Amino acid sequence: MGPIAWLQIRQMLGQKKFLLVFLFLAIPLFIALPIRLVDGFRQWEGSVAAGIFLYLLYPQTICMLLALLYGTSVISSEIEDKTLTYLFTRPLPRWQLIVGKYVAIVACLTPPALVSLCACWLVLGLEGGYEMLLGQMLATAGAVAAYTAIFSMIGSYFHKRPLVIGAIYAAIEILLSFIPALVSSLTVSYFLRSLAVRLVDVDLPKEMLRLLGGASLPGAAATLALMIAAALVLSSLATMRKEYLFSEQA
Amino acid sequence: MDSIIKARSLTKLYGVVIGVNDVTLDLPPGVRGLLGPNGAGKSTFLKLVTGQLNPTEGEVRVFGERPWNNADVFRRIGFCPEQDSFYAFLTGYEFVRTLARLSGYEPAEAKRRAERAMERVGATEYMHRKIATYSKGMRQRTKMAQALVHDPALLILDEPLSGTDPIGRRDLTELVRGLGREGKSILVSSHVLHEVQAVTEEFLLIYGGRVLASGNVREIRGLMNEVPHRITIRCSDRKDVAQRLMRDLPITGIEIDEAREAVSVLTRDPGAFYEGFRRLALEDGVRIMEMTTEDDTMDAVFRYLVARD
Repeated sequence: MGPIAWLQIRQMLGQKKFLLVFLFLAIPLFIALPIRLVDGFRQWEGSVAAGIFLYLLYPQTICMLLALLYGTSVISSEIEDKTLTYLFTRPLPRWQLIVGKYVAIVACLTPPALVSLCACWLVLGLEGGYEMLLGQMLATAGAVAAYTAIFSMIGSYFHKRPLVIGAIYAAIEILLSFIPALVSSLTVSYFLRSLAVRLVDVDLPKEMLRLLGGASLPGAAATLALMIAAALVLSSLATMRKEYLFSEQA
Repeated sequence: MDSIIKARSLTKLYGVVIGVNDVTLDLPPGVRGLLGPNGAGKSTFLKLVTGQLNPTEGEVRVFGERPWNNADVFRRIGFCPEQDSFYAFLTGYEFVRTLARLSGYEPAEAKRRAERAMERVGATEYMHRKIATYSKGMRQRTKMAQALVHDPALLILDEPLSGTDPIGRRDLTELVRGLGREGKSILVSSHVLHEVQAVTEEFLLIYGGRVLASGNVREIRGLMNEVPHRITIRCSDRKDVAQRLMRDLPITGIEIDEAREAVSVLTRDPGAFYEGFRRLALEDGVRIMEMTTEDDTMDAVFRYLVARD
């Protein structure tokens, strides 16, 4: 798994595509700056509005997009570059290929996402909202981990147009996550929101809190871990069973 | 002698397109060429043997085991793919060392093996340069090095000389010969007869996804002689020439093509034909402009064998 992770990190950091990561992560700062200038969040409910703002930007949008970009390409990039041959003719269990790449992607995306989140928090000038920041950091790290696993699974099953299929999944996930009752609790987003809000001591109606994220902190963390494990197992099974053809064969 | 590669009714379909069609064979250890024109099914066959593809029907066994998803087989085979693809952001040395690591070697051992493999293929001089800066010949050598790095018992080389310059071709040919002398089994594919002939006398001929023939050069030439060779002669006095050819030489068919100013003959005994034709050409009154035969091309070999089947 080590050499695969090393290879993936070298590949990611060496690509121009990685500049997109910084570009995406700079966007919230540009949005936060004018909000700070007009003292936007003080007019609302303080940290609640800021928390929703940060959640929608980071775990829900940017982390999802970055995971979509890299997770769906775990296999397709090797097929496009025709390098899969080298990996599939070595005595390396295929689950290690998936897990190695997954670990590398998460390791490359999480630190810049967290740094950007902290910078955004500073720009917004949310004094004293450390619990909120911690919750957002948990949700951001969880989003990178969970969405990367899910998009890796999608990329392993659908190596043709995985980005499109991943985007369709993302749209459905976002829609479902805002439907109250049981439906929303089937989504990754529901548990990420739970991570974000459960550390914050906010005075909100129970229904509102349930909609934002009704799971307990340990429950949300455990469910996300299970989701990640399931996605990686399914992804590994796909690579063990599927044949991946290069374009001239396909 | 036990076969290292065994195929039974091996078939691979890509949708409705046939990649490999009902191949049954036993390949003993040794160096063998896999010859066939482009699109004949060579690469598909090699991908089945190296476990990258799963058969649609039938089975293939390498060292007695199914290669699909089989780490034990992967430890014993080295594959040099046809496609010119790399992790171009790595140096040649890093590339080979990484693949050695993926073969299960610890970092220090992988380093030692990568250096040795690069030296073996004559790539030491530039191994610390990025692959992106390599010429085609350098890349071919690097691909060979990664196939050798784990010292496999069976080497599978898909068009290894493709795109190399004459010096690279000579060096790689010598390398493959040397590996054969060391006792490695090698299956080397090509669509160029003389490339394979430079490393081995033993061939498998594949065409349309089927193995048409196997054996050594003499046996295959013998098979070729079972079907007529076509020889085209551009000359004057074509009717007269045709009559003399029919009367004096061993031919099985003749055609006059006035548009091309040529006489086209079919013969099962090209040696006797050429000897007799030499005499005829020296006679007065016949002017020979050109004589061509398609027999030296691989396509002709395969056409003969397909016609025979």
